[in-house]
Amino acid sequence: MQGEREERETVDKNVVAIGIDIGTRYCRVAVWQNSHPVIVPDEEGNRAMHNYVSFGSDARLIGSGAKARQAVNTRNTAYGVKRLLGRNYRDPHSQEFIKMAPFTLISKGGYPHVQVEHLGKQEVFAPEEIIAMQLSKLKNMAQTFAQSDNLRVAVSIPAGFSALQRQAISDACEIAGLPDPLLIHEPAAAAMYYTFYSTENPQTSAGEKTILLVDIGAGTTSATVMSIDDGVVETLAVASNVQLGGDDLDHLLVKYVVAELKTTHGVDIGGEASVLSRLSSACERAKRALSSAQTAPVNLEGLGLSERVQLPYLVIKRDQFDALCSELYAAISKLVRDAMTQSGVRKTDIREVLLIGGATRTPGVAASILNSFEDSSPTLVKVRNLDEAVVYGLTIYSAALSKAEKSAEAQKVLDEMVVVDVIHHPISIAVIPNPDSSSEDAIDYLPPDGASPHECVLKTIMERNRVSPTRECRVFSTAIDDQTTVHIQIYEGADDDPDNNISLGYFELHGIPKSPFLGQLSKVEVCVEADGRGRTVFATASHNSEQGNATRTVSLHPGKLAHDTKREMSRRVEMFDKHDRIHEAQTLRRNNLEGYCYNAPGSIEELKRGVDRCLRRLDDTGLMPLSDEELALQEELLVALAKRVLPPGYAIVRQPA
Amino acid sequence: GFTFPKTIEFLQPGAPDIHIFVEAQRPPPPEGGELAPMESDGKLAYTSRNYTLHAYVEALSKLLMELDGVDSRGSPDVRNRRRGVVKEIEQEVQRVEAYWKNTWQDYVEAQKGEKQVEEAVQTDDDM
Repeated sequence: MQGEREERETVDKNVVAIGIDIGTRYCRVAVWQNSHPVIVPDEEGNRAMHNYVSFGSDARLIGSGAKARQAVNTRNTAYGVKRLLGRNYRDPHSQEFIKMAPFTLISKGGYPHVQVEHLGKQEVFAPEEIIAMQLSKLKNMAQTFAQSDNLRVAVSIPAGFSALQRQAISDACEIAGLPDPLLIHEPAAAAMYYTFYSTENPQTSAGEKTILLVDIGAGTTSATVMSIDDGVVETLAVASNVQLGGDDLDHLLVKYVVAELKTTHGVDIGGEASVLSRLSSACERAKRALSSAQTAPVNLEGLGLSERVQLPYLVIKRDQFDALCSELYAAISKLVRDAMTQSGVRKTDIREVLLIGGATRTPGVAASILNSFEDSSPTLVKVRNLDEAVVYGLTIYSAALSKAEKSAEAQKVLDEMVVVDVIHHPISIAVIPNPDSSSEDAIDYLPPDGASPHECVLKTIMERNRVSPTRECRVFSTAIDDQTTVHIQIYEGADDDPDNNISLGYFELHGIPKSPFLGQLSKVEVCVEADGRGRTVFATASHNSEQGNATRTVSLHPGKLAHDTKREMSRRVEMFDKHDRIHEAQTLRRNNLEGYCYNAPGSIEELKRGVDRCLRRLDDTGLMPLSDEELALQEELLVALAKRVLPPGYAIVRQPA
Repeated sequence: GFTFPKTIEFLQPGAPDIHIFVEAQRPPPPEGGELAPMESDGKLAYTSRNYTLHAYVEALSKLLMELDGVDSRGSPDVRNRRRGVVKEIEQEVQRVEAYWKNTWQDYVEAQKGEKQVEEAVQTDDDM
């Protein structure tokens, strides 16, 4: 980050730094203005946009409009597809989502795709495309808000996202016309926000401290141990679960309510998707209410069940809810413990626990985090806007790394700030283990080309929680005599069976010369490099010999969509955007015309009265001369009335006499 | 259908020990379209990355050989059918060839462009 700052010497007023937080349930966008991040509201004034995209016979709706239409357009409204990013169709997590989702998901090329009816045609969209549609809308919102097209964008990725998921987010940005975004982990962004505002306040910024940051969103949870010292934020350890979040609390409540209705009240609400999705929102409302109240009713009125069903009045108590969710609370505590152990920090050293993400409002969650600290009791810090911390942090990040205009104070704070992130997954390569494992410096073998992955085991090159950007080299040897090619497979993960990890890519190094000494195998050095944004991994393999050294460097992009697919998707997103804009303009015009027609009779009536009044005035003053001003006033009055009778968009123009 | 690989491995012209990964920039040509034979100095590497490409072309040529073995016994119908199928297969082979050759061509052109950019950067440094 330091190096990149030096490049930025001048200020470019046209550059606008923005941050986009793509959550499981909400998206947010903020713009850097007057040296502070400012949230861009959507057209209805909401500070967060629902992750809903609704297709239909006329136009797409994105955001709160789509959510509002969901009840009547259930099958054509996609939401929460972030959970499907970078996962294949048969993945148990995808399957779980597919079972719950009230819209159609099909398998295309082994990956889940959303199938909807749009403009009378059946369309299939990749999850990346759905995210891109939202990003495209957020981009337009930011462009209109900042009055600039020159955006510098930072986009959030949840802690613990795999390389495939990160690539999917990156692809979605490209499809939406946001090339080369800064991809920043959510905890790092939140820490950026926290530090930016606490350095302004000398009381909170003094001295070095270690904090625990717990981020629980709708679909992902992470616990991060960080040390903060005068604007230098260092991530010590991250533990994350990308399948755990506030949504799971809702699901548990839904399950409970369904079971309760069946057993105690004898009401079977059936498995219809639209009923379940309405029940899910009712349960979410109850969960929110429980954050501040001891009991909350679950509203069963609007579920759309048949009239004959007698619905009971269902009330849920907070401790009932806590008991339901005890397993999830335990999972959260486990993450906290995991992060603590990984970081090597003692529990008593943690001075503050910073909570961000909407689900940390649930009292049981906060309590379970504090419980894992036993004796010591750190201060629980809830930042004022725990939902918006990430998007603010992203905007600050993006401003710090761009030429956007900053005040002298902000510049000073940003110059002193450094956020050090870590890699969230170990990186390993597949090797054939050296049978002589007793000696410490036994070198593992690299398989020749075409070796089956099952003959190999994984050798971790980089442990997780290593400070990034990072580079690590290891020396391996060829497996057999006369081996001129080595096959290098790089994985994310550290499971012994390569199949259980995510393959980042593979390549071969060719033309390895035979070792001049009999019985000795040739040596190959493999280096792995991960860049600071958690985005790209480079791998380099090289060998030395008298003929010089051969090196091969490959940048690894697992699961990247093909160029032409991306271009095609990009074109589609643009086409739909254009169609929506035309549709929007048409709707507006139609509504205006309709409003005019309803008001026209009244206006004509008024015009008639005005004309009568004018005539009377002229009759009354028939015998005396009228001044120019008086005549002009009468004319103006008539024009003002006549204007009301005209359809919208028409004007009365006076011809010069 | 055959899934065209997104990345193809080529041999550097003049230095067969150096392999280059090239990402395809264009979709495969549409089926059934006429393709002009094209010039290309790119050579496909025989590695596991190109396995599907080689295997597909191999399978197609095996089909051609099997067709050679089909005896028409003078029947014009069989002969015409056989000719039709042979033509289809040859078109498919050309399609695969066009795909990887286009990919190499795009890469060569991109390399030229990049070199110009690099030179521009260097002149800036001199000033």
